[in-house]
Amino acid sequence: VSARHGLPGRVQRPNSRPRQVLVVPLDPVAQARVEDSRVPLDLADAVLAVTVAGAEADGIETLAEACRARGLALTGIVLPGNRERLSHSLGQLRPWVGTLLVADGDEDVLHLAEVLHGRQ
Amino acid sequence: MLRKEQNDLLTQTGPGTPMGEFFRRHWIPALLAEELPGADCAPVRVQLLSERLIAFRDSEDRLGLIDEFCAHRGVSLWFGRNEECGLRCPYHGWKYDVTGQCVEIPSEPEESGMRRKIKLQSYPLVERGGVFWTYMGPPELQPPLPEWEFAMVPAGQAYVSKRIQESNWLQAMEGGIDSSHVAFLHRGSLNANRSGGNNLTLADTAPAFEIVSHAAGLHIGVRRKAEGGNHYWRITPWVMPSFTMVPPSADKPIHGHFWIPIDDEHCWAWSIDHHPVRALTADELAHMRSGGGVHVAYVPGTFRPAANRDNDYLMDRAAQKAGTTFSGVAGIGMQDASLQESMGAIADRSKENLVSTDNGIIMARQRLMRAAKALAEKGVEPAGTNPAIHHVRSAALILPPDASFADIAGEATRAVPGVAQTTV
Repeated sequence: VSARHGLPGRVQRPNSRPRQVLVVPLDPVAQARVEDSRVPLDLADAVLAVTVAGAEADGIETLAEACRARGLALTGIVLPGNRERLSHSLGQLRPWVGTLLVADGDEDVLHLAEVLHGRQ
Repeated sequence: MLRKEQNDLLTQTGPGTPMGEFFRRHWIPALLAEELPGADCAPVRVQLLSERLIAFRDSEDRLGLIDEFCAHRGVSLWFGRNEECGLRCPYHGWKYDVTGQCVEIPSEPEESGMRRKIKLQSYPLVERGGVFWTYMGPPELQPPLPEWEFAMVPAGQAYVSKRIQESNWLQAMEGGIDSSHVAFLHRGSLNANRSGGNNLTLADTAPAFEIVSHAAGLHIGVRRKAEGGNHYWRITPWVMPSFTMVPPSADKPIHGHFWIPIDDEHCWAWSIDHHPVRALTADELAHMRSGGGVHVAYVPGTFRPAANRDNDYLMDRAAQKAGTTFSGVAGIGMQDASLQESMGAIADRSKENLVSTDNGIIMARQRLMRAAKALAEKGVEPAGTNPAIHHVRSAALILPPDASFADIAGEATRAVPGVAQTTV
């Protein structure tokens, strides 16, 4: 089985520097399940706002306004919770985020943060 | 960004690899039915998941997909004589039936029993919807036959083609779920066809994305502004490992794709058009057969696109400058393939820099890695082998701003026989 990885001759020097990704749990249940990345908003390159399906994501408007003022991309993530109230959570986040993700599990948040961070 | 070991996990599909075993649990398209047109026709070389095979149809119309090479001296059975219910190696006359069982060794006495101890690997080959499907996993775990809508509609309502893509399957498949490239790379095609929702797609170049998991993949929704404060939604289903659909436009046929590994550096790009409730028109069929839409024109006698890397995909800088095409390459299929092949045979994902609009791709990779590992480490069967999962469609629709795509996705993306697609 061949595994020719990449392109011969492609410049191998780094083409980017790691980004800072701020993870913000929006409700108490999300706070218990996802760690705040503790990146200052002014140093962040991207922001992930996390809530649990059915919870009240009250802080989203304030966070979104702060991101908008700084030109930051904001992604909303809804973790598994009360499936009956998923629409409520989506409705809360939808007006404020560019991408909304209904996650399969809590580990999706860390995976997304790692990929957007560009960490090797 | 993926680490090399993650990239290897996703891109390597040979025997014994986690992703290869994941693919092997599914029925996958192997050939167009027209490639084996009749009893005792010429055998066809087939390479899938890094295994070289030969397909043939015997004198009684039974289909076989067996190891390409004769068990005697390793000669390719593509040179074989397809005669009297078996494929005979022209070197010394050994003959095999559709199960790979050796049925004749002319040089050995029949009483020796030698031939009964010779059997080539074989896989089932079954026709459905103009496609020959195969299953390359453990025989005792063979799932029911696939029930993708295009393969179940009456004859005349679907058209299927395939082309070779000179890249790993994953970068090809990722194009099928990367909704954010459409308004750029395919802008020329959208401009040329302003019907349906294409005007809305062109009018809002900063769409929002919603990604919802389902049992065997994702629904990727793209939301744009529509009249009256409403939202125009385009929903792309992805079913693991590699089935994707393009959201419909007006009453046109729905496009779909399979991305099937040939080896780690090549894949088959299967392109499908079907309409759930009507026959394709003569004009639509003529357009598809000439390489229009998601289909391509070929180098004669092959499935290699006429526009390919050896001729720089017939790059037209004047068309690029004029905006007739955004990249300078003509045709939706080759616009995608040219850029994906330019990444290298296996894209080096350690040098990527993904952003929030790539979240669909990020989540698809995560789902694939998780599913392949669950199968390899815990024996968790893939959900996509259940035919009920195959009853899926893409959709395009307009919803009020407070409506949830997640709530409607189940209904709008369910393929129901005799019910038209949800489209704008």
